Amino acid sequence: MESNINLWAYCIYLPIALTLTYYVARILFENGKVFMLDIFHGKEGIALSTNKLFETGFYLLNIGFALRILKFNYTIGTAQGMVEELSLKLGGFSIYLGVMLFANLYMFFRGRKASKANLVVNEVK
Amino acid sequence: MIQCLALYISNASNMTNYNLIGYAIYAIITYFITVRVGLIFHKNGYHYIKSGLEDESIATSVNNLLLACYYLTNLGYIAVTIWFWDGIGSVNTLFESLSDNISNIVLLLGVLHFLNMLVIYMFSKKHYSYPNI
Repeated sequence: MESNINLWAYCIYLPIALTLTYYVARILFENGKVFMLDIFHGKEGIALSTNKLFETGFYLLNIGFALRILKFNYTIGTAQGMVEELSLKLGGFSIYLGVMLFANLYMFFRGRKASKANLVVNEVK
Repeated sequence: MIQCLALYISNASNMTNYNLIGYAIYAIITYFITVRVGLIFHKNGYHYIKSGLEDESIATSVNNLLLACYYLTNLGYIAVTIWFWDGIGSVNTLFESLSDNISNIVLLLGVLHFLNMLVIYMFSKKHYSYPNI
């Protein structure tokens, strides 16, 4: 089989990309709980629910993206080619994950600011 | 006889229908993802619906109806997409086409989910002050 190396590359790429997503999501949303509790003024039910909903969305988007970029458009000829292609793909995916992580963090901070501003307005009322 | 067997095996492997294997794997994986995500939404979205409706029994039934609606649309969409698959010739194309189609479903779910949350957020902002959520 001439395209055997492609198959190897897929089998290496998939577990690494999925574990990476899992660890990033776990770190982000373990620490996101504190933000959510702050945003919702300590109401635990809705804060943890929101955290879980964002976590699910994060998983869906990132695993979807990881699967979307899986395909190699040509047959990889050598082991060297495979290593190069894999490093490009996994590196790109990890940069994408970093950007998503910062976007989420930005959202947390914005929510915190908005809820604080709202609290002040309500107290004035 | 051994030659016959070898011939038979090679013929069988030539005639392996990768499309059917692909459909089976695709259906199982997307079914589990959809159901699991639906249950998570069902459990965690309840607080939002309750805060919007202020009546527990109506909130519960609305939540259940939404879950049923979600299942119908998504599982229906999964079934429909099977019609659009190209022919699959090898294990390689099987991987590629599986990942393509599963990523379609998963990305669709993710984008719809964030749009939903945006709509709920705007709705709650319009009708209630923020800490009421």
